[in-house]
Amino acid sequence: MGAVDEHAGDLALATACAAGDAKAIATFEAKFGPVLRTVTARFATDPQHADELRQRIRERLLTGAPPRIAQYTGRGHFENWLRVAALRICLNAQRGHDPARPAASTGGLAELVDGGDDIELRFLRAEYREAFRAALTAAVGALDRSERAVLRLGVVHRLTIDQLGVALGIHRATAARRLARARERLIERTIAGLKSSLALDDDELASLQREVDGQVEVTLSRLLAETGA
Amino acid sequence: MTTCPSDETIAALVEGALVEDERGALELHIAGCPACAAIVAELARLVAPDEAAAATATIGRYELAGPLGSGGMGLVLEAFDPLLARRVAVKIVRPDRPLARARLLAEARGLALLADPHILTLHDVVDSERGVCLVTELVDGDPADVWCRRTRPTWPQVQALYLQVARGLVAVHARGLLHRDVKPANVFVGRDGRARLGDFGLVGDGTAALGGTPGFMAPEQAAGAPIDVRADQFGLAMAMIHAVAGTVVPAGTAAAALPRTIPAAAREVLARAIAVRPNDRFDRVADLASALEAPQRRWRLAAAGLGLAAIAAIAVLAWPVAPPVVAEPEVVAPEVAGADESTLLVAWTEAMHENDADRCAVVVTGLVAIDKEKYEGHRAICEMLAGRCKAGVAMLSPAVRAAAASTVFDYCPADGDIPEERADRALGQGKRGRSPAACADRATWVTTLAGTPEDAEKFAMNAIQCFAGIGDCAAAREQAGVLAKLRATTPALELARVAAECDR
Ligand SMILES: [Zn+2]
Repeated sequence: MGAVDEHAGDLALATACAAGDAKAIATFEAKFGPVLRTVTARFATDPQHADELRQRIRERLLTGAPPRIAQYTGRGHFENWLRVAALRICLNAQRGHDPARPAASTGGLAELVDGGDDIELRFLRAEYREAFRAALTAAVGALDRSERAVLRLGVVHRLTIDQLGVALGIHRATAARRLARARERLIERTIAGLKSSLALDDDELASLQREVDGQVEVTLSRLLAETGA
Repeated sequence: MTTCPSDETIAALVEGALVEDERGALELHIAGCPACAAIVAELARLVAPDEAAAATATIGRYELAGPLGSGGMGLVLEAFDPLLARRVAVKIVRPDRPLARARLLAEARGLALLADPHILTLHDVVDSERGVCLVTELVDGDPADVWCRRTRPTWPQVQALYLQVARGLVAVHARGLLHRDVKPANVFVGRDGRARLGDFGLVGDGTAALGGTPGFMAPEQAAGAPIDVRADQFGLAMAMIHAVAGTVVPAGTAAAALPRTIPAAAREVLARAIAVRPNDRFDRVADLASALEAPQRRWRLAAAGLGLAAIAAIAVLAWPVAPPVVAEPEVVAPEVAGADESTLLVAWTEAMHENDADRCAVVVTGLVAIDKEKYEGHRAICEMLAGRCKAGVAMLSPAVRAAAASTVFDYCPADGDIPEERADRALGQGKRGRSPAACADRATWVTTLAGTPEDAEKFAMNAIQCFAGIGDCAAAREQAGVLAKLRATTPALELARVAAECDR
């Protein structure tokens, strides 16, 4: 199949850039400068910072032995490869720059539940809050990996359904279904956890269940999003 | 934790270029690796179609209304064509995927060559900054997989549906093209009961080994070997089996192992069509269709005297030896099946008042099934309402045509007394419901009927086109002023729209 053939032009350009060909590098700048700008715009609002980021990306891509651009083999579309490489560089730069944003580096979903603001939990009576937190943490811990992936992208990174479909390489309808199911199961498990830890009578449980049904998704989104990148 | 995937693998993920195993492994990695999750999320943000922008924007002259769905290949939106005042479907390829772009152009080339009632009609191709856009007819209905889940069709219904698809495929093959991805999701079932085969992304000349869909793909195609019309035959037969069984069966499944809900004779035919070796299948799709239809011919004789509805149903099953010339099969749309005559007449009148050609076409299938002669004229009017004036007039018997002269003028001014040239334009562009009175009605709707500002704009635009269509440019310009006020734009912009349509 001609995937490599199809990208032969870009592959040749990347190879020439890796060899330090000045003309090729100028072509690269002209052709893919806009792609780099859209990437850096996500990480830097002021133009000077964005310029610095682009300079850093150029250095990583075009210098070194061998330069990183040599890693492109023509398997896919060069623009997307470039986006991934540039995003990696930007995310690394951000981590070095801004240690106050740990989620992109270390966060498991469970740790995101901790340290949240209690404001969102005001809907629960004080004695329930700890139980709620524990139940939610346990529910997050019990997620399987594919639920975890979909919640991480959909809730932590707040992708839209179309973006989620692209991110997982699946149809948007499938993405929507999977996200909904993962959320539902998280809620179910949280309620089950509350039920076992609080020893509530049926009326209390029913009333708590109504509150949790209405609030847990919002609460979770906020808890997760607070530390999301 | 597994090692992080290469940049190329992540890029391939969003390009939809990973095989399922690779995709699954990467997904599991993302679950445990926040760094890679962040990259994938940011990349998806950069390359996913921007729904918010898409929902409000235009492409070419088409006003995008909202997403219909998003396949692996791109985003499909409903849109409005203000020039022809009709709803259309616009398929936009994801701009970052050159392979998808090439496939889309292939689809356009394939579709443009075909004009068949059972092939999705291609109206236009627009090359915009967002990518290549295919503008096709908007089928008011469902893909066949959804239709099957909803209606739980009987075998005769399944056969009636897919024999129409077979006709479409015969037309495709007659052009020397292959569809390559015949499956329920690519068959659109209109409310009018007509099936159209769409999604020609993979039409080709039999040399390029592009992927179909597992389960519906013939073994030779799955193996990457050269394929011919017999691969499409395989997909067609498998889609029919899927429609009654709810699942596909392995290639080469014997007749005895096919679902019992399929008559024995048809099981034999289908088993041959899904044979592992192409040589064991029928030579052509037409042969498969004839073989399926053979027992039906006997049934048709037995059914004589069952009434018009039965005959209408049988007409669908009849497989003409030559491709059909004009006769469209008659099927009672599922929504009106079993409704009585007076209910249908009320519904028909409502559809007329609302200028709703699609609803008209649905309702009239029920009326025609009740009394074909009596309601043939109603059907003609639905045709005119839908902008197919010549077809509508042709349906009227000469006697009825004289009596319906005023109706004809309302919907087809071309057949009234307006200048020939303008009439041709109105006809050619499928404009509907155009008479001075009808246009004036539309102008009043802007204030009387419109429930929302969007409705008001649509009515105003409709009125502009209506007046422009009958040549009353002064009135069209007046409506442009109204529209400019509604949109808070300069009148010049809207006048330019009139100029484009009227003052040429
Ligand atoms: Zn990783």
